[in-house]
Amino acid sequence: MSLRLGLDVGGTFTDLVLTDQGGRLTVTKVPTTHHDPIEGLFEGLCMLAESSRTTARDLLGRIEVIVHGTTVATNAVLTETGARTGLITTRGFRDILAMRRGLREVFYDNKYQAPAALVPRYLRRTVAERILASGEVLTPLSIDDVEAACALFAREEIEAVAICFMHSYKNPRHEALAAERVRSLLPNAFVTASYEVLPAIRLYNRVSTTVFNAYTGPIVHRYLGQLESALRQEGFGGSMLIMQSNGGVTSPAEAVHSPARLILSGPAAGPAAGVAAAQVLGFEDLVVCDAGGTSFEVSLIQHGEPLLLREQDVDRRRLALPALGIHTMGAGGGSIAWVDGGGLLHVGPKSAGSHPGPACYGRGGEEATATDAALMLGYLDPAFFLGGRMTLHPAKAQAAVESLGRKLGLDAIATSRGIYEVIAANMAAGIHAVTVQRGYDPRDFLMVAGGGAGPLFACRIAQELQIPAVLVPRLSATLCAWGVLQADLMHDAVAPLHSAIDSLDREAWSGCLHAMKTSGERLLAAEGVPACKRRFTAAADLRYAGQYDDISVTLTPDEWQANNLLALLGRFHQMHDDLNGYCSPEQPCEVTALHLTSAGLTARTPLPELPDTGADGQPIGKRRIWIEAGGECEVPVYTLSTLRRGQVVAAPAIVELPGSTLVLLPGFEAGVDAAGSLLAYLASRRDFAARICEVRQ
Amino acid sequence: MSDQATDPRIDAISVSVFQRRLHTITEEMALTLLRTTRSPILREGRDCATGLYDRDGRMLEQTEYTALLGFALMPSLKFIISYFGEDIHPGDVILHNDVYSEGNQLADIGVYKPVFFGGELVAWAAAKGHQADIGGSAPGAYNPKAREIWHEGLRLTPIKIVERGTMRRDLWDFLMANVRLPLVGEDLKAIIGACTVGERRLQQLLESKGSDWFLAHREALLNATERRTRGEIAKIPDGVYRSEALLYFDAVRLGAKHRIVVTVTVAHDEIWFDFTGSSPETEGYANSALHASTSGLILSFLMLIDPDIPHNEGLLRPIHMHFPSPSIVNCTLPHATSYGNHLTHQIANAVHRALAQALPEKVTAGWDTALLVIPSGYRPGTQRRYVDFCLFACKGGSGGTYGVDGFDHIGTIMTGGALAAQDPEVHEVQNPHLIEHYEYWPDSAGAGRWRGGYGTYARWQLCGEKTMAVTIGQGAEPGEEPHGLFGGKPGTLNRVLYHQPNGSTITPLVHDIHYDLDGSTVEQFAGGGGGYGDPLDRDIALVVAEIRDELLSPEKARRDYRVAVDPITLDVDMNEIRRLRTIPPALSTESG
Repeated sequence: MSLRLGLDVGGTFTDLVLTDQGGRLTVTKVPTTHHDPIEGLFEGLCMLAESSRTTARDLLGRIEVIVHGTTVATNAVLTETGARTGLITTRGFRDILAMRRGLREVFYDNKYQAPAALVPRYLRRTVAERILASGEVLTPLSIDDVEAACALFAREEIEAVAICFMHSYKNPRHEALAAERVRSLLPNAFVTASYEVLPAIRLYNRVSTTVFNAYTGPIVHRYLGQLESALRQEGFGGSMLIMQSNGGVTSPAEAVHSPARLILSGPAAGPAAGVAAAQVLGFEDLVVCDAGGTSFEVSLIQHGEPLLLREQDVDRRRLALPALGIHTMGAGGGSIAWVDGGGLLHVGPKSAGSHPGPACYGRGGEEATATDAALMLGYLDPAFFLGGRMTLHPAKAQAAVESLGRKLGLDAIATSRGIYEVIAANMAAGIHAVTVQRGYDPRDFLMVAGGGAGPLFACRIAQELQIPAVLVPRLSATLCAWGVLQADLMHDAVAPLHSAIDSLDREAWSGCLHAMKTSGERLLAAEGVPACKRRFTAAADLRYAGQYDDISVTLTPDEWQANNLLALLGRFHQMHDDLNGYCSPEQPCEVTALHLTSAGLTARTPLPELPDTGADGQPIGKRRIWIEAGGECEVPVYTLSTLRRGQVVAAPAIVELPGSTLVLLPGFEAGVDAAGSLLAYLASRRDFAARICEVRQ
Repeated sequence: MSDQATDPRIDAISVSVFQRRLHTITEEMALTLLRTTRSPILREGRDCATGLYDRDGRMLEQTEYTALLGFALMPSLKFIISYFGEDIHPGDVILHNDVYSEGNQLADIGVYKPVFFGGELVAWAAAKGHQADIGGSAPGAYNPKAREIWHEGLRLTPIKIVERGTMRRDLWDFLMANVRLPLVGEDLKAIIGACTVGERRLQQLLESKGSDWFLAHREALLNATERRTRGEIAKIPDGVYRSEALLYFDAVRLGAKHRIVVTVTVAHDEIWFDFTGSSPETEGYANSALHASTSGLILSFLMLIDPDIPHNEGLLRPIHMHFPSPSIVNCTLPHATSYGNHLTHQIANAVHRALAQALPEKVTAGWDTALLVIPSGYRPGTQRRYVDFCLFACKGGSGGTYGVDGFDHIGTIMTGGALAAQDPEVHEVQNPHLIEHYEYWPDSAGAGRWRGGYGTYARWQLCGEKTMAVTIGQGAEPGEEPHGLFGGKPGTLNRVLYHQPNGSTITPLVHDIHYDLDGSTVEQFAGGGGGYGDPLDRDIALVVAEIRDELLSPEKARRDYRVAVDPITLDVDMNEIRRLRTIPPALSTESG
């Protein structure tokens, strides 16, 4: 029987979703083991095996594909704990990486500080060499200078080297020569030359992207190598795929080549998972949130399409590779509460992670976290955490919260309420950043609450932003681990081809496309994708002669040969008008680059329909909780697995899901959709109630 | 609060959404402009601003890549509205740049497009961008030799270039016949396009929300912003504060030293800026048109209050300004004005110095004042002309401020760090220039507990034909160093040199024109900003880190910070530091 495993290693939890051919899902969530994430993964595998009454070894032997989203590269960048990296660049251009085009993001704030360059100045070494904009060599490369830089890097115990020279996108020869020398002198270093990652004009974009690649390279390389060999050792014979920032997956061999493409790997599956879950009820405009233990990720989706960006800034540093537009911030169940010098309560961005984790984990954590507050308020069942596999310690949570409360002059419950309110407000601010700040009214969107901590805060966040409805997907706690199983293999390639359309070399045009297609075919073949599952999408970057920015226009199959480009130009003029308010069909056009995305379609795992059990699920118990200013009250506790499709649950209530808990606040009610996801909506909104009603019939 | 009480549709979220929605539209307009324009100063330098205004011309929201242009949009629009009266129709587009009818600088052409909804004029979308050329007697719109406005270029009083959706070919051809570069025409089309994007987006918003919603939220937003600004002003201690700053050279008379004087009066939640006492108009082009001055003042003041405050007309209600006319900060016909924008440095310095005692933790030490080289000529072997503003080389450092070092390579205070340096590769594709060196200028930052920002050292060869170069700027004469504050040391001076192929070197004045520069190499030093606070209070580890980074020489560390390190290992020599720090300052010049 062929099984597929979705695996998401987050900052706090490791999530696993196993599917079989019949679409049956098995899910588990275990604490991430930071000293060695593979340990946590195997713990999860053992648990999955247990629930199918077998061994991890046997289970691994039957898994055909493992698809993995990892935050290993993200964390290295965000916490500035990547590899010790050196940069070799053209003499006279030492500071391009740090200068960032001389821009200050906030024009009037004189307290604003630029981020530190990932390579400090003393490790940015320049060498004699120069290539002109035409590609001609002005000054030959000085190998002596490269060797001198290597000698310094050896003394400084450099683990990774980035190489980026002026105009190397036109002529990569000097970079290739330097890379060869560095690789032979520093055989253990991870070496990246810019032409290998991003052969495109703009020195800052290229040097920054190349440094990202080098900075994350050794870490990703080490991690994926260890992961794969550990899996093989335990009997895994299938193939492994890694989630990339663009929402597609790739083989580990490719991933290790360009680790900069993994910088948003962890959250990249969230948008697609949110879209798939919301499709069941027919929603297309979404704010997909994923709140784990450490971070809170938000993405805005319009008409069911996640936003894909050609370039963006990751913590204010330029990453010029295709990636989904996902906003991330430090807020989650493990976020630590603290009191500042002025006596104000804050929560996060520091997280207790999984070790020691929140105080209530009983693993030595002493600081109060959002999870401790939720436990104090009765939202979590100490005996049912992680589906009952972990026991929480209310006494430890109480001690931590009380100790914080003394600084605020508040008792444990009032302090917990404060923590809950502050973290919900922080998360609301994250949604604010992708909606209100981009000019969208959050009330026009459906919120999708994923992650282990998402449903705990979802109703409160919705109240804060007046969002009328929140969808809690059936697999909300393992949203990304399920999402990675929905992703296709995807490889982006770019070929610079700068020419006026009038004097276009048609053979060069089709030659570029076919060369990229051949290497795409090769990559997909190596990943075992059969020919019938391969899809190629080509696009041309076009502009009016003299402009410096392009519009990427998708090519029809006919246009690969460039025999007749009139229709293509017509689409370009139209897009230029839509985007820029005018077009100039009389002006000459030029192409600057061709792009090809090679996709390998994978088997999807649709959410299985929930059978109608014919009777409403009853509460499994009652619990005393504190809600808002209303004080303590007793509310019914439901478990999702016993609810019937179309059933409506009245507030206030607690609904326990695998790996998370929905706190249904007064004013809401929640209905179950056909796939077993919960839609919590304002009880006054009959339109949402009607959708649930339809499910029942 | 009263707005919300009267209209139940208005609440804190809806007003905030309204404001951000409008801001996003202006941002989309600005990004459109950047995507589509061709001249490097617009595309690479971002010397532009976009905005939305109500039917009466009141500012609603803006994106100010160059703040100075942003705050000059509203006054010109108000003039245009009074000029055309009822004669405004859907599809009209108006161009304007005239400094003597509420413009700020001839090169900064404004484009104004009315937004109609349901047959009614409801708003305006507008954008201003610095054009590569505007005719006149020198390419690139800056002529340091100009003595009257007509030397500087075409004065565009309000001109309907597009009438009810149809381009006026006669006017267009007249304009294009009077500028040197055809790309100016393409850039103007692009800016008109940006205004069309603003118009379309605003109309979409009105379609979904209705014009009642728009009008009610407009009032709520302006009133909320006014309240917030008043709250910010109320935090400044009441009092009368006075200071001044000098302009050393006016392009005509060396050592002229013109004064820009400000008296700031703060009374509860209102503030007055009075420039009475400032010098008379100059003979050359160093005169500021009224709205270059008001704009420079507003942006200087915004740096002293909450930076997140929305930018609309409500912000301006509690701020009162007086620029006496005629004077260097409010000049009259027929004076030349194209250096006027740059007097923002003097206005900002005077304002920050005046308020230094009232807001010691907000003000900054002196910023580098821009000295800009504008080469022009022909691409080798072609008839294709080029002009570029070498912004990358002119970006100096900002002044240090309480708690934070100055920003490195930021450039003129006029733009607050929003003006971008060209990407060097793109610069070489656009221009016949070969960049040999473009890095931070070591030792340029003024020492301080919080040092000034580092400036830039650049060298590039002019490889075109019939090459000439204009310099405009300041900050090159001793005494003009960006000032230190509260014990911080001053920053460094700007300098430009032309090394000619025959081996001789020219040092141009800061306002100058030189011809016959084919094959010459320009060498430019853009100064570092002034330091804030006593350098001896700076963390020694930070000093050592900059020595290791080769930004700070051991000699300067010893002289300014009294920090000594082993030259090889960079180990801190505490004994030597103790010795250095016990020598009285007057005797400690041995290493300086």
